[in-house]
Amino acid sequence: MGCRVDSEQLRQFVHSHESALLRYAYLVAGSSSEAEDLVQSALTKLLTARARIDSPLAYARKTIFHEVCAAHRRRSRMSMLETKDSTEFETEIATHQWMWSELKKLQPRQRAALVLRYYEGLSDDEIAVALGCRRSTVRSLVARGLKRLKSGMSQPIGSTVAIDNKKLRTDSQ
Amino acid sequence: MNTEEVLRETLHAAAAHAPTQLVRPPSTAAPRARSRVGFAVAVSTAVTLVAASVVAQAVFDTDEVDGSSVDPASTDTAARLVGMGRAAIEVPDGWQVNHTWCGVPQSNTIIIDPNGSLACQVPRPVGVADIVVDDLNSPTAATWRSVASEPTEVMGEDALTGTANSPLPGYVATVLVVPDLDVIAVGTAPSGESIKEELTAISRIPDTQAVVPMVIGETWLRATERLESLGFTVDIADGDEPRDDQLVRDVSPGPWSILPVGSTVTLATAGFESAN
Repeated sequence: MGCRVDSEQLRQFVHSHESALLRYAYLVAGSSSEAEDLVQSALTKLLTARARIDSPLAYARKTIFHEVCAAHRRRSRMSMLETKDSTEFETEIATHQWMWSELKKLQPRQRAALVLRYYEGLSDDEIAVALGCRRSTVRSLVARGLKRLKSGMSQPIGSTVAIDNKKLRTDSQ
Repeated sequence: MNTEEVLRETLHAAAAHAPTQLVRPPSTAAPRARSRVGFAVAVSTAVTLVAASVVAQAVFDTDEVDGSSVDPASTDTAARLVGMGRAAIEVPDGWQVNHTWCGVPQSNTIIIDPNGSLACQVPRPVGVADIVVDDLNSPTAATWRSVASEPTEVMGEDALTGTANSPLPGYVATVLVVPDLDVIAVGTAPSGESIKEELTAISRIPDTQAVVPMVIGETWLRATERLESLGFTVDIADGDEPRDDQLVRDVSPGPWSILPVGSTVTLATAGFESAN
């Protein structure tokens, strides 16, 4: 039995999916520098494990997800909430800004499930593979993540926008 | 605009801020982290590995079992499921199962059915976290259950959670009780580290599946009864001629594996003495 993914296929995979994996890692981790580290780490592991895997993309997604979880566990909750790219979204509309900050507060499992569903457009089965869990777990993660986002959207967006705008005006003075 | 639409738009807007390319060696930019150097080398050598693929193939082939696909979940970089009773527990990246010495964790580990003796005075390595998973009638539950008083939800199951100082100096215990699964999980981690992610990775095993119990050390008769009561078919290891009172030396698939009901579990007794 030969290697499931040979070196040429791996090279093509990197070229084809590098940007997509970086976007996925960025959306799950919430930081550009972390995304780069995550993808590099995932591809390194893919390189060494390529003989044993059939789907490099699923493997890479799963590795990125577990690295995010491991990093999350190592850090305190508060330090996780510190955004390394706090200036990146200053030019976006306030609703997206609010949603992005709320996404960063979700647990990595919920965030990854939402990213895979609403950005990657994956099915429950595909998300289950990417997260290494069952389909029912995926549905639960998505539902709980959305519920939390909805509970925040029902009231504070307006006030948050007002506060943010006021802060921006203050900062600019 | 509803939440899903806002979320979808936000994710697509945010993705525009994601990096588009990894840092390439050697001179485009200084690597910002050691791991980046590692991948830079890895990618640049990937092409040259083609030439070495014959050698590599021989090495990689030794890792394959019966030519079957190995899911990422079974590698050292991903999670895998282990079970206890009706609860499925995801073992996190890099964590072992029951890696203890005289009951004391020696690395980040999930401890299922704890039965180790603490009398050995084995030291616990610095910074090691562990999660003890046990049933609600156990000594673990008797010690920790009262800590869990805050209602929560775990994978769709009602649960209770709470935190307390661990008897270990510098460690905090996080307790999760899932009554419907008859399971308690106690995570002990160094102060400042969150272990909640691991504790919430508990879900219900469907009725079509069952967990291989720890039957090593039990008599053949008792082990067979337990396995058959769970819906497994018991097979005898090659060369074995077990007696009812002979002790089980090994079980395959191993304890805490989650298998479809009706699966065959093989017991080995050769080399072990009888119970009496």
